[in-house]
Amino acid sequence: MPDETEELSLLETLDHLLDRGVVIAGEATISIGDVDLLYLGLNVVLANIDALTRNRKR
Amino acid sequence: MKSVVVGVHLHREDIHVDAVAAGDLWYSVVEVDDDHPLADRDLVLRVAKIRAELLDRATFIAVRYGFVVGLSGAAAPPPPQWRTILEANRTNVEMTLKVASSTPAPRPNRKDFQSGASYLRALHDSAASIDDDFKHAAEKAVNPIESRWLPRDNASLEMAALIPRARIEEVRTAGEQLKRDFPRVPFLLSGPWPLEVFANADCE
Repeated sequence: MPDETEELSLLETLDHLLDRGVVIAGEATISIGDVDLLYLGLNVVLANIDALTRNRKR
Repeated sequence: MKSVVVGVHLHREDIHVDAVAAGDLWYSVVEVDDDHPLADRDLVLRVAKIRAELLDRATFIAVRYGFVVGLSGAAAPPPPQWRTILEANRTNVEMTLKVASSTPAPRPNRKDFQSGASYLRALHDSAASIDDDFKHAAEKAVNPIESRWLPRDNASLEMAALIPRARIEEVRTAGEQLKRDFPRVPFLLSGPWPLEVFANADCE
């Protein structure tokens, strides 16, 4: 079992991985035939909404 | 195969991580199968581990997890100012100090808002504040080249500090002293981290 310090360190590492760093925009459009159905900003897929809105506000 | 980007760095002979050229800089990457899900726990942990190993070698600009480049296409060149940022901060790293507020702002109620967007805006407008004495003491203790206070939520703030790599241990020791001086203020000092906040801010 990981001790408390190890768990804290892992959480902190993951927080930085998912919540910090420059965002490079990717994008894709899902289409069927010639009709564009859905536009996706790929950088939002795994970022949390909280971080995105905070960064937009800054 | 696809490449999950870890960070952007200058050319280094001593960085033994897969890298993709991007203009005159390099994206350090982790290669996975095309159908490998980015949300795979083991992949996330692998990227986190490589990020830490990279930072042991050199300062780099961290790319938020989730950006992928395909092997068939050339990676887009990063903004020109990134080279300047990397060269200016070769010997610097970031450290962060997360502080819980003793007087959290009231959290808005989702039912009071018609849209999710307006609710999220209100959520961030209800940013926490912390005691000025602690804020000044923290800045003095860390003594950064540059610092930035960032709101996290209605209950905590974070100070991102740019410091020389040579001062990491000194800052940790100062953090321990800060804990003794302010035993009732819950905070977490962590790092070193790659260029995250400062690379972002300089590109805005």
